[in-house]
Amino acid sequence: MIKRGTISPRQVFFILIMLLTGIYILILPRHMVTMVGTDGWLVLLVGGLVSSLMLFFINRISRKFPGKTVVEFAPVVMGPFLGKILGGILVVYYTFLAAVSLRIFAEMLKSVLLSDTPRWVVVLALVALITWIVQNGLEDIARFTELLAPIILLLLIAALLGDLRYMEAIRLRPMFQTEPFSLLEGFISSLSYFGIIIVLLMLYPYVNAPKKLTITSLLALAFAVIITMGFFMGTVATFGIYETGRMAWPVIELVKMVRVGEFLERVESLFLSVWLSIAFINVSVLAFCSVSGWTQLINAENYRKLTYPIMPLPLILKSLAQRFIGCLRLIQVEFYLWFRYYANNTAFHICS
Amino acid sequence: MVKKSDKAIKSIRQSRNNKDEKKADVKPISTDLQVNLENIKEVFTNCSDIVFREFIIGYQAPVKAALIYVDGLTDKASIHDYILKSLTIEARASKPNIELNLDDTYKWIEESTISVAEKKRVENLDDVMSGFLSGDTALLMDGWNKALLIGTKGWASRGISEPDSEVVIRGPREGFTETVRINTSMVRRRLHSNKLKMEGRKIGTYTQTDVVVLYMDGIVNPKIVKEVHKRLDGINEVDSILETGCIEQYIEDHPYSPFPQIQYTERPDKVVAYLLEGRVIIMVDGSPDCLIVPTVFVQFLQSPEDYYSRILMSTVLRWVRFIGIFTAVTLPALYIAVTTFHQEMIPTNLALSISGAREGVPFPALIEALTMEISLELLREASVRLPGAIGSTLGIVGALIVGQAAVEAKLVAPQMVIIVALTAIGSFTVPSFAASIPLRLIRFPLMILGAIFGLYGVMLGWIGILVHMISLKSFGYPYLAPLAPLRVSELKDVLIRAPRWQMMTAPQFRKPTEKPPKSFLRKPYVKNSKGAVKND
Amino acid sequence: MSAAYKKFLLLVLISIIFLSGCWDRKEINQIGFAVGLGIDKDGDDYQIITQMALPALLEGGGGGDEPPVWVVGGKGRTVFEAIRDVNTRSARRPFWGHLNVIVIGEEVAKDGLIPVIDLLSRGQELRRSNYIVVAQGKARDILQAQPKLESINAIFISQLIENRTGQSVAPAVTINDLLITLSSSGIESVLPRISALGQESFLPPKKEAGGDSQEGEEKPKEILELRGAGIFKNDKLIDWMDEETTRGHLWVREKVNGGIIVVESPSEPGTNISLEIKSNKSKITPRVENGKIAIDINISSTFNLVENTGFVSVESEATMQDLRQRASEAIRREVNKAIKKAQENKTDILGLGEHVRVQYPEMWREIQWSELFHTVEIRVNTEAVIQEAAMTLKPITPPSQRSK
Repeated sequence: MIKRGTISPRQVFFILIMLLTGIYILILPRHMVTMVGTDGWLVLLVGGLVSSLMLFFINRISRKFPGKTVVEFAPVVMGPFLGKILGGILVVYYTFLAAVSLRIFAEMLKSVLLSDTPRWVVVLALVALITWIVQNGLEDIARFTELLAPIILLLLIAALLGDLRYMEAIRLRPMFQTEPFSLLEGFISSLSYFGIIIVLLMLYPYVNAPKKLTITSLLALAFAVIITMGFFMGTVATFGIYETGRMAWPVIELVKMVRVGEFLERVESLFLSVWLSIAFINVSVLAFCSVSGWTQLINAENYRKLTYPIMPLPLILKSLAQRFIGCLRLIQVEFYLWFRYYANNTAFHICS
Repeated sequence: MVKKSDKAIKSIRQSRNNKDEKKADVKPISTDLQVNLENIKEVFTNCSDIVFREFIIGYQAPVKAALIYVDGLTDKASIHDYILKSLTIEARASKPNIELNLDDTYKWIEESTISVAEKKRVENLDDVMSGFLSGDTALLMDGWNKALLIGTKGWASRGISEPDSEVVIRGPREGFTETVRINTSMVRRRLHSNKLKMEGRKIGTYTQTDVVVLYMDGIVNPKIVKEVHKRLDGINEVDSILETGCIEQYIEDHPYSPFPQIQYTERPDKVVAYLLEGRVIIMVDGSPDCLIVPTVFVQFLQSPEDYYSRILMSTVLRWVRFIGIFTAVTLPALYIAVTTFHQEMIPTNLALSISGAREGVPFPALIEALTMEISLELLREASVRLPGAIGSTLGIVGALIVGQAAVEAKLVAPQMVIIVALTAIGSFTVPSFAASIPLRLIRFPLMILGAIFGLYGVMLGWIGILVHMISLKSFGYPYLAPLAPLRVSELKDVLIRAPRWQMMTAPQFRKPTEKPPKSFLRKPYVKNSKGAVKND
Repeated sequence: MSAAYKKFLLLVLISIIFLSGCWDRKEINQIGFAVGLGIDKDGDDYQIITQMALPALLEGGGGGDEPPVWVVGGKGRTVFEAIRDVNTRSARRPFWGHLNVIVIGEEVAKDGLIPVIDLLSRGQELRRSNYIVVAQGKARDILQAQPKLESINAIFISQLIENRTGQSVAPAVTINDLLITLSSSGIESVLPRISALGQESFLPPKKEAGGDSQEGEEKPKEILELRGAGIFKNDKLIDWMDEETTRGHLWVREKVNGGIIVVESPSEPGTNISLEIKSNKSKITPRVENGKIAIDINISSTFNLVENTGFVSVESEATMQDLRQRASEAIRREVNKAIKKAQENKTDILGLGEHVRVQYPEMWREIQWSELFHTVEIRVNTEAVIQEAAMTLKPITPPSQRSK
């Protein structure tokens, strides 16, 4: 059994920000631009607002069952059978999300930084570290996040400011030209993007001051929405919507443009290390949710033992993905998004 | 004879371990002085430093008596003047008022004739033996089944001098010595408070070393004191405690970690400061270092001088140390990563000049760096072992001649020499030697990771280091404490060194209930608007 | 953490160390720093010229007259093939991370940039902030020229671009800018023009620098000049602009970065006054009048008075007013030149279409801007502010001219 009530609302705040900005921000501008063009910021804003509603429900239901995760209280709400199934879906969702996040990161690393290094080596090194911290427990993950997140956020903002001189406001216009259907599509996409906050359902019992969480989580969401919008607008203002739509990793391209005086010419490798920490935090939290979820699902005693079978998943996923989906990473991402969306909807239904 | 003293030791050990069975096992003091002496002499055969002095007290009802002490551990003058002289010459001259029976005689001798402040009555031979072994003088009298231990401790010890390993420019110069009593006195002299508690105990089957636990009652979190005692209790079976380092290994939380989780210091001012923060100090006889628990990592970056010199300077110096640490750990790894993976990061001209300088260097950057770093470690270790003057000569020879020659022989690029030199300088900025060693160590794995994965590897290494450091605990307190978990109010002594009057808010180790008065947060002397100084 | 896991972790780490071929490792002295890239056409094939820096020569402090660069070429049906062709001649793998400048040959530019630029936008080593210029003539001649001051010719060119503040007679265009103008609707591309000249033409020709650069001499050219710009329709070079027209274009694009305007002194005919450009602002407002698009361009700029060749001071309010008038007139002339050039070529290098698109998106979908552009009415409004008179307040006045 994991000790509960050990992490502080501030740590949850940083964890949520890291999850919400996370890995997916790397491709978010392209995704948004292809769907809604320059109106991505609007879609993100509305998505954030609706997500805050969802956040409110998450807080409410979790408060009703203090000290219990969703996997534990779902059977109480919906009956043992349905509850188990729902818990199972959520746990699979966390597991899958952890694996896919890692996968996207490895993909990016491979195409941008370490093109000749075998992917399994890159992933294995990271997975080993993640397994380690997951074994150490959520408390350590939270502390790690708290230590690094402020630095990461500062660097992200610095990257945006560093590109300010390349940005032109005219590239953000004209606004409100998207067709309603694309707008809806983009909105769903952004909703599924912010929908990762349902991780909070798993974290709730571990927080030592759950009463503060409503405000904290809303703040985190607001902050994340601002950052995401910032990156979307920054990318579009720098490259224009056509170029952004062409790029595989628009944010990396954005970061590539940054130049630190006459001293460092290109800092993208540095920023990739920043993204490494983001990926590390993201996957650790998700992996923890997944592992502890599985433990609660099968009423096992010690979650640590379960880490071993679950952590190699991203490695297996690779061959699975290659076999069934083909190695097109974009399809994977799409799949990932829809998966996120459906899982979120389910969560939404239980909450309301 | 070794066997025999073994026996004595064993009995001593048992006396401590099985306090309940004391009476059954322990050898009592016989009323016959000769029997007692023989028993003791039998245990201490071939111990030439133990002196037995037999004499007679009084003339009305003469009592045979014997003094036993260890030559060299005792203050001979006080034995002569205040024990022997009192018991022989002066006791003969003075006449007690009443007619004494035997028991009263002993009582009279004990209370009225010995003019030494410390004395203790013991009731069995084992206590007698351990008593005189620690420097006291034992007085045995014929017909009395008890003995007196008279405090005559006094041995040659090093004078108080400035600690070499913790040099400050501003601040007191005195450091602890090898005698625990002198050390406690130095603390007491700075802290005239009845709240300062010192609990003593003996550890080590053979050495019977004095260990003193110091804390401020009312400030310290009692849980920590309890934990310290619990852990000290756990090391009873050990043969010897020669230095605080021996205790440290037994009581620290993660002995296999490269990072020290207990700080040691030789400076009494530092000890007092930590006591007032609510920490527990462990002193060991025979060692000038005392242990501070619980310890957090940032402590190793704080020098006592920070608190004595001016605010701005201390803050800047702290940042210099942060940079120093970062340099010492990461710079070679960064250099390897950037020059072999991310050449696009450096400006064109610099890249070209590095490339030109490496022209003809036969090794990959990793090997080049490893060679240089290892030779640096060689030099450092060699110069530590050599006496002062030669040591510094060696440093110069190593740094200048070998470095220069290596560059000229095209074994290394000059840039690498700069990097390695900076690494060394960076590691010297850490005020605590104990903390600079792990920093020196972990740069090697980082270099290897940097050579495999580039910056990704360096970052991976850093994440690993952080994961490890976050998982560390020192006596239940998280090792990276004010940083992770973040305690914003305590960052004022980490990222900056806030003014003293702002530092008075509850330190993390205080008792949970302790809340400081609000007025602590104000500067005591504030100039009011009229310019007059007013005492707040 | 269990001991078994620790052992496993250790094993993994050690095995990584021993398994590692250090896959992506490239020692800094085993790569060739390609600092300049030129692309020419040879028949249907692309011919590329890379300029590789020779660090050993740079380090040695120069071995005589030998420049520390090595120019090596390759050929291929695509640019990428040509670049790979270079590898067969270079012992060190060319590394593109330090590319300073890309020179496009005139022929390539005329045939279209897209086949060339596509690779440049994809390569992960290349940076998007690289400068790109179009050569008058062959790119080869530019990269083989041996200018002084900088030992590496490509660095010379990139500094030339960065220090263009002297005159603002050529735009500075990065790959990113080019990609954006190529892909956006409502704006066409412009690239700065570079030409190699012999030492004998030390004073650059006043107008239209083209033409007489092929003198057929063997000695490499010593002067590189960045002046004027090539204008593109879609991705094809169709015309050149001279320096005044280029600056006119820059006025509209709000990219004037220093430079001098010389006007006749209002108080003393026959003498000139030099005004240094300090800042410029342009505001483009498209309007629809009777179903037709008209565009207002408002340009305001600030000047410093830096030179007065006459004797008479221009301090008085009336003369200053006059001077401002003349300065704004000069700007208007340049801008009109650029507009005329653009409309003649039917290519919207001024980016006016972008503003129409932003302002009237519904209308934009219906019109064909490239067909419409040359008929659009463009009104130019200019305004000049003259700030301070450098270090000296009054002109040099000989005693005979002084009025007592």
